[in-house]
Amino acid sequence: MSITLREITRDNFEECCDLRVADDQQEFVASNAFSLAQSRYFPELTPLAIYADKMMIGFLLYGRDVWNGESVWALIEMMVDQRFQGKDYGRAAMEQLIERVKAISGCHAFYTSIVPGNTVAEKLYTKLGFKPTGQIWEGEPVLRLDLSQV
Amino acid sequence: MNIELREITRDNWRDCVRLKVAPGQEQFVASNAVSLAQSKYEPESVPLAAYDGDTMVAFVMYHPEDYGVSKLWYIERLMVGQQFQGKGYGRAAMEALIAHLRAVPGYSAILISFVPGNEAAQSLYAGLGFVDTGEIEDGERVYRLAL
Repeated sequence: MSITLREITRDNFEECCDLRVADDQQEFVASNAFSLAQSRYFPELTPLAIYADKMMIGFLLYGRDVWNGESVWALIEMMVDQRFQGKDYGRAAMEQLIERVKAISGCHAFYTSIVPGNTVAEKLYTKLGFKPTGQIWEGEPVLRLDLSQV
Repeated sequence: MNIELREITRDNWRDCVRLKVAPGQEQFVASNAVSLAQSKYEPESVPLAAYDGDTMVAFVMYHPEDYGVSKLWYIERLMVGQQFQGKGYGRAAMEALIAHLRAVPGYSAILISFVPGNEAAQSLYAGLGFVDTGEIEDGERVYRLAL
């Protein structure tokens, strides 16, 4: 099974809008339609589809954002469709994203934030090397990955 | 009532996404989040917000169709926020949009479609001068307003 990150286009955006997390996870992530709409008005954010071979199984949104007055590179959303969870696809996708972000010149750290109670996300990001900063952004604890350490 | 159509921007896109139809109507119209996402990847589709004063009350989206000889407009979406329904905003938003499209030279007609049996849509569009083309597209009845 090969996990790849691909651009979203005219040909696959509807499929992307149709991906869903499980009902009890919906409070943790925005809908993909919301994220794509956000990226329309904030072109500094890049949406990418996560594919397992030829099947779109997830979605992420990352880019340059301003958190608490500081300009940062951040992961805004990441989701794996409910049909494809529990297979470590999220981790494989994140490893690829981290490689992409490391390649951006001048980018030394990558941030994300998690909705309190989203233990699955917390575990995943911790495994990948993200560490709590103690800061809060929009009500969510902020995690930071030092890109020189990965 | 003074309805004004405005562009959707960084500053009001969240208001647009929050504007929702009443429960039970979701099957008839895509959410505004989906429409804005669509307009990113199909940039010929133009989303506009309808305001009554400072309040966003409705949403429309249209695109041009160019068949070489004749150019048409297609209104692909019209929704009124649930708390603003039953006050004539749908009609007012449509009138504002028709006026907006009429101002562009070179287009011969506006098309709009609706699910058969949606009598509210049918009477709204007929009242605005749209006439039945007799055509069915993707299961929807197509109405036409000559410009």
